[in-house]
Amino acid sequence: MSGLHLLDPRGLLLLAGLVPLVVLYILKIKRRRQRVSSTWLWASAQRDLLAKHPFRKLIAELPLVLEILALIALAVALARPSTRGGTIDGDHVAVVLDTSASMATRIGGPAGATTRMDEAKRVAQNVASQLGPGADAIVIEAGREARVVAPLDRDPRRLQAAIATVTVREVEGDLAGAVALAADRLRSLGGRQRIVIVTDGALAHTEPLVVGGIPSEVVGVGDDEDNAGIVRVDVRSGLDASSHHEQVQVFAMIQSFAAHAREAYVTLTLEGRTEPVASRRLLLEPEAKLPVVLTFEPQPADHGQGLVVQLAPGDAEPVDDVAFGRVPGSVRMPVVVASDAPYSWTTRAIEADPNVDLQRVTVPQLATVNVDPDALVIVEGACPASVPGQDALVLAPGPGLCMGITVGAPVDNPPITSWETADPRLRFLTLDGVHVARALSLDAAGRSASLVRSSSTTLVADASVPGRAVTVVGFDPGDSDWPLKASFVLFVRNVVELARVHRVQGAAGPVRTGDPARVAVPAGTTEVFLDGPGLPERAIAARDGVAVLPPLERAGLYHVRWTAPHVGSALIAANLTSARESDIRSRPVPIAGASAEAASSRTAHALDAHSEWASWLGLLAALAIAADVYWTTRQMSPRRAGALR
Amino acid sequence: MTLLDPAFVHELEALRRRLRVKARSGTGGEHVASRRGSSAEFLEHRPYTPGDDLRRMDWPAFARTGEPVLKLFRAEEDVVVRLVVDASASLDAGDPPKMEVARRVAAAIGYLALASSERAQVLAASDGLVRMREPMRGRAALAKLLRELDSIVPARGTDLASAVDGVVLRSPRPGMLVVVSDFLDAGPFEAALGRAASSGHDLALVQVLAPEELDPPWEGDLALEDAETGALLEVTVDARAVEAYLARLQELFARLRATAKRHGATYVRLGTGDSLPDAVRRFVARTID
Repeated sequence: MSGLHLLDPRGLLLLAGLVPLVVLYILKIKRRRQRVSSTWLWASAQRDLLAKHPFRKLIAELPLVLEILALIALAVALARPSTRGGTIDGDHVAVVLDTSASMATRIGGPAGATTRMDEAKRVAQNVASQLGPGADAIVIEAGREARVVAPLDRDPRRLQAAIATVTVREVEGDLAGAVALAADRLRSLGGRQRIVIVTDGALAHTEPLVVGGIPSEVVGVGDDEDNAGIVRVDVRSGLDASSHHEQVQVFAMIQSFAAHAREAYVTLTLEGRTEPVASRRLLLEPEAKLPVVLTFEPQPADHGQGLVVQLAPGDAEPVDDVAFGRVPGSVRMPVVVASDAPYSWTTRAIEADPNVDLQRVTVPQLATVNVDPDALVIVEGACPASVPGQDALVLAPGPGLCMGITVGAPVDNPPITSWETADPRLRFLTLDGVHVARALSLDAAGRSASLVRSSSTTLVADASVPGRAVTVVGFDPGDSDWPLKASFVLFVRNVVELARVHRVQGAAGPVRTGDPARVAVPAGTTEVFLDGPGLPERAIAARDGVAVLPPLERAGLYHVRWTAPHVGSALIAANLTSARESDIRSRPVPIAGASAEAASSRTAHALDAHSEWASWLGLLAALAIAADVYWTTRQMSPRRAGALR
Repeated sequence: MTLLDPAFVHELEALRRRLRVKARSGTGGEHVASRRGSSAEFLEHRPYTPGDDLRRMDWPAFARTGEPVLKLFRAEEDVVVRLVVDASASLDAGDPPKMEVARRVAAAIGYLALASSERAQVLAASDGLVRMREPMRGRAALAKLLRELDSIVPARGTDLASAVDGVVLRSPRPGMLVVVSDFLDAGPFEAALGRAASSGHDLALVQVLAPEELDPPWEGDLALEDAETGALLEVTVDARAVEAYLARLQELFARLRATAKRHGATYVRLGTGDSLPDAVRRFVARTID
């Protein structure tokens, strides 16, 4: 057992109450006055009593002693004394530290001075200091992925120093993965093994922890706290039905995990601004799940800016009180058609859409004009090496390599035999009765996929890369009767809509903390620079139009910029939005293969390793007060017979 | 309240003949003395020796026997019954006050003395002998005696030793010395009583106590105020404290009892609520309580 810790030393301030208590006691002396014939016999009797019972003087001050005892016990109880550790039995000990988002919860509410993580680190450091002679320990943190913080080491100081560097990750934790890693590391070692799991019990995954038969104990940290969090956020733009103005709509789902109802405000703020653009007042009932829609009319400069959704007032877990998004681009989709032909069926189909900004250029001009990075670029009759913009549709490319697809020899009258009805570009349409007079064969091998097939070749192929949809049509619509059918208009419309979705999502789409993010960048970009909350700017390699960012472990707005082949940037909003991490009430930690009795005994042992004595001291204070009340209100014991006559 | 009501006087009349006093004060009285004297009660004959008073010759006996003899009679002497009443402030306690009972006891004993043709003298004692009236004789003096007793007001402290010594010094002849007090005196009064007995005084101690002194009814944290000195004593009165107090009181009783036995004195103890005739009967019977 290690020494006594005071979890909240401010409770000792109550000891200041001793001064007025003693002063009041001294001043109190309100003895009832009784006139007697002579105090001579009483004085003699008192001397006799003091001679026989030396503690009688003390007993006379018993109420004061009891009140002082009660006050001291109460003060120490408020300071929350606790003992930690216990004997760590084992030659090889694995300490698994939960570093998921819920571990950032403040103990004692939003104003608490310490977090569950602080508590967990103290427990882990205590375990390190309690290692037996010759025993070693490994420290593993359970974030989104398990990570070894300190390899097997016998030096408690090094272990404690490594534990001190552990921080909370604003991610859904994978405790099971970390425990499995710990069991795996220990299994190959001889001697006695032990796994100590330090967690708050608010786990994102419910599957039991697999310890492989190694004795394990779960040390719980933190108390149940009320919490509410943003568990989902989505941003869309559209036209307001009444005003016909463009409107950004932010959908947020607020969930309460509290035992009491409370009022809260949800505000929406643009990044870098202080004035909210929208807000709502909510009454959060216990266990309620409330959808909130916040809308505002964006200014032209707002497109692409970051959005901050804030739940106020904050509570014990701050990370889920804020969520981030990005203002989508203008509701009018920019489309660039690059064609050298005098007439374009595709252009005609696109012109039917009133929410499209159409820009027509020749294929050579495509490399020189300023193309919106979110634009859909349609190229007819050619396949440039680099196609700017977001999504791309290439029709009738020339033979050769086009967007990763090999365009082969012409095929006459290829019959359409099948198509991918599940693909969003081919949704709600039929190609029955469409006749193609002449097409180039497409080889959809590798990472591309065949969307429309004839009996002998692929007629339409998907050459998408992450974050960017690329469609290659192997024939000129003018060489078929497809433009005369509704399915052609639907196909073009579907391509535009898919581009619109990608535009709303931005360069990377929705990102959850702890997941790696893929950012679509220009094909020639080889390096991007990432800047985000708590991060210094760092360079990340890009290839084939994609930059893979490392897992973003903090919720917030991340900026990715590149300088070649031209200057550009992307905004990424990373959110926790995890109901299970927001539910910070402790739950039983299931251990696979352990009987209910064994699991509970582990829990009991774990609690012993973190014993708070406040309740016992509180009981002592109550007993002292009860004894004080009894003593001051007691009746005298019956007189012996023999009052003298 | 009258000190002596008719019924009580009636009782006293019955008791007065039974009062025996061991001391003589000199002048004739109703009490026969052990020595020979000049009363009408024949004691014995004694042969005549030259110088004897010829008036005491028994001439008829001389005529019958031819032997000159003197006729001797038992001497009859009166007794001064000195009523020393404790007039300290402590006698003011109780309901009725101890002083009231002390006055009545003294009045009763004084009545017994006057009705027996003895002399009675009222003395008041507090922190010394504060009052000493002339002895009075005869039933006619009863009213004066009662007035004397009535005029005693409890005040000041107690010094019984000094008071008793004062009485002995100021008494030309010994007599009956009746001390009516609560005897709640830390001083060495037993020695003074011993000196009085050695001087020939016939001692009688009458202790008057209030019920709360015999069985303290209080409990809790008290500041006891001494009626004589005004001093405060902080006491937590509980069963143990009362037990210790009663032990000390018993010790006082034992001391008084021992003193009475040592000097052939009477010791009567009574509470303010006790029967006064009973106490007087015990006094007349010369008991030691």
